[in-house]
Amino acid sequence: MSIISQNYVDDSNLIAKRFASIVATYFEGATEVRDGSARVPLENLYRILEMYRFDAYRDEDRKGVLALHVSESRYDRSRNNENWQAGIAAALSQSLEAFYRNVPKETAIAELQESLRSVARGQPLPPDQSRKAHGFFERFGQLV
Amino acid sequence: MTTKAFLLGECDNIGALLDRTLRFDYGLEGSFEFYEECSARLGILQSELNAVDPANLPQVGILSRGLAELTQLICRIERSSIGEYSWPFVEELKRIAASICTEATIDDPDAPLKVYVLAEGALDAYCIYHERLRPSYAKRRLLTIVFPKTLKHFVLLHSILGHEIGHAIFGCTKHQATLVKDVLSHLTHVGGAFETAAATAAHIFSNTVPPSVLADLSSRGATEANLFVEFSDWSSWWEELLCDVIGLVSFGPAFVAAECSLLYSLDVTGLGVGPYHPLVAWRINLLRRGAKLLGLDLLPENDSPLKEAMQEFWNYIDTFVKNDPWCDVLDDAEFLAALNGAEKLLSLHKPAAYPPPSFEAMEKMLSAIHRLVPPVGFAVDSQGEPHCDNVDFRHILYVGWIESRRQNGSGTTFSIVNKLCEHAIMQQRAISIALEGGM
Amino acid sequence: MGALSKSAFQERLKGGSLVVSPILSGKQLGRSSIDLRMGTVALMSRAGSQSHVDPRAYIATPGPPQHAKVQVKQQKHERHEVPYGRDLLLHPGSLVLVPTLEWVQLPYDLQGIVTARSCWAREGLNIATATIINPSYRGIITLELANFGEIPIRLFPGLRLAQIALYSLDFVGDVQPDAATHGQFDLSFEPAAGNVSLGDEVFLKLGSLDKP
Repeated sequence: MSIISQNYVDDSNLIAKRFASIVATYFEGATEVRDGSARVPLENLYRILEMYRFDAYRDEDRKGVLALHVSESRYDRSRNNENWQAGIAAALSQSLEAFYRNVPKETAIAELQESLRSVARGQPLPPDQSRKAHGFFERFGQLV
Repeated sequence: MTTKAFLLGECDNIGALLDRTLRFDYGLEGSFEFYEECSARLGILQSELNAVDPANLPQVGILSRGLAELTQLICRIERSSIGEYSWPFVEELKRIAASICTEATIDDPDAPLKVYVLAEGALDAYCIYHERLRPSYAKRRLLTIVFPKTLKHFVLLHSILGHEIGHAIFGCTKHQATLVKDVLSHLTHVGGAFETAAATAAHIFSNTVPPSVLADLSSRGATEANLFVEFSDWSSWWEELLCDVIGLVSFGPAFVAAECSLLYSLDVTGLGVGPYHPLVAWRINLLRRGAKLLGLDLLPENDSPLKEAMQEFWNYIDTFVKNDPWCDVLDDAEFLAALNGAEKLLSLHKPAAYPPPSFEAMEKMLSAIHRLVPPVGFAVDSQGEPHCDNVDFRHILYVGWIESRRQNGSGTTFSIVNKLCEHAIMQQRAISIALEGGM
Repeated sequence: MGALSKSAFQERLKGGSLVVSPILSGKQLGRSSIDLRMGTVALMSRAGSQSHVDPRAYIATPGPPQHAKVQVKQQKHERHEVPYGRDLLLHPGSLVLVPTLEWVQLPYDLQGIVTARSCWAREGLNIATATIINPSYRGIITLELANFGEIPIRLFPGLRLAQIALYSLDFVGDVQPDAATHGQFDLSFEPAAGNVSLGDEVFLKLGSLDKP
């Protein structure tokens, strides 16, 4: 028996929010992306954009290996996470509307992912692209 | 000491744990990549903890949970050093996983997920678990493959991992979109038993439901109205069906046999209504029909020991099929469309899709395993010269299942047949290396 | 009794009475022997807490096996998987048991003798004993590799380390071909420690505290 029993909590919204604000600082040039851990927010936002691109949010919700579960014999309603992405998806849509209005979704996402790539590699971005990406991630972080 | 300070101390502990464990050469491919990944996760957690306001309890809570998950992960990866799984089979499975279980990352649009393997648990422990897509402290997601500890050499049963590969494929964003469009849309077609949760519940509680099912549901207080609210997760049910489809098109007949053996050993009636999986009887009936629709049960035209043995094998599979129409939940046309959709996706990612076998090769392999020789693509010609051929490991598994079910088989045990097939998979890899190298 | 030439063992291979599978290259077929490759498992001897090999410890006793005896036997060797492309370092003076890649089946009227290939012997690698493969044997062949050189030797699965020469047996009277007997290592998939006391128990129990 464990020393504590905890309810399942989905942290994805707050993590996304925090990562968005971190990445915004990368575009300000305030933080250098040097080591592996600095890439974590970038890769996560890249993944979020991929999910948004394909509208594919179904996620692993089995307790899985980490939780050392045996055959699941009871339905755990708290695990029902079909709408985990609702806040994130809405924030992405609104931020795209604000900074990539009239740009096709596919093009906007590709540009944003390219911006993340440039930051990760320390490559300079055209000022306009950098400004838009910075604004996008800052807004996204506020909305999510 | 504040919670923040305590957790920062825990970061140091986790760093020391990483150095004590994942600095060693674990697993057959070493552990450096896992060390790197876990270090990156620890790094971000630590920097976030340093930056967080101690009064920001929600954020501190998130970081605390992140540290706990990371520690569990490190311990799990360390346990993979024990081995105790069939590495020849794992190598083949990884080849399939690398071809299709990929994610788009900043550096690579098709980066294979990093895989580690564990052996633990009982017969129901088979699992391929992909880390979640949603935001987390992971830089790259890891794929965990779990084998039951008792079944180290039982490669014929390992075929069931075709279903689990389905979960991993469905967890790849771009493939998820394709599978929803080309497979799921047919499984949940209009007018079918899986069109909606209500439709599935209506089918379960229809007037043709087996009395034992109704009695079981009633005893638990389940009704048509509350089944998929209080007792079962409908979206898990259709995902499991989708993964059965992928298992069938990725592992072929061996998958069908493995599912029959394992699922019916865990639910002996096949009629249990569980929280996250559809009824075993439904699944097995579907798989048998699917094998027929895809032509997986085709026999050689001419009479031969192979034809006779294959017929026996499919007769054996048929013993698991329930004749009750209540257990047939999908329309043939829509089910075939779903199978074709899955096959189309897997065919784009060689070697993910199960390739049709050559009966000539199967005949030779069956003859070999019957004589207790590992069945590989090898023969000595009429001049006494050796010849090697490439053989897909899934055909080795199919031959193993056929031999294990034969009336006039070699008489050896299921365990030995499995070991012969495992050995064959290992030897076949050497044959492939030799052929690729021009030997 | 005579050694089989290439054409003779090729006939046997063709007919299926002799199995060496797989033979990855025709170059493995010598004039009077077949080269054998290293497999993908290694059992390294481990001194542990054992002071000596005691054949008495192998004697089967009535009742359930003694835990300590079984534990000592199981922990005598350290088992390593050596996948293709990975290496095994054999230090001077070390002994390691590796399987052949090839699966071998001998008919009732042939015996095999396994030796190291001379190119490896010149590097210090030795098959510790000239291994006799009994008639009707089925399974991998265990190679007991020892390094008699001064420096470690790196070994890889797939390397042709050994060779098997085949000898036909002389029989007196009729022998039923299917009256095959299989030894303690029948259907071996990988090396395993043997039972050194098997068949010699009467000598081991002389003067011992373990009364029959």
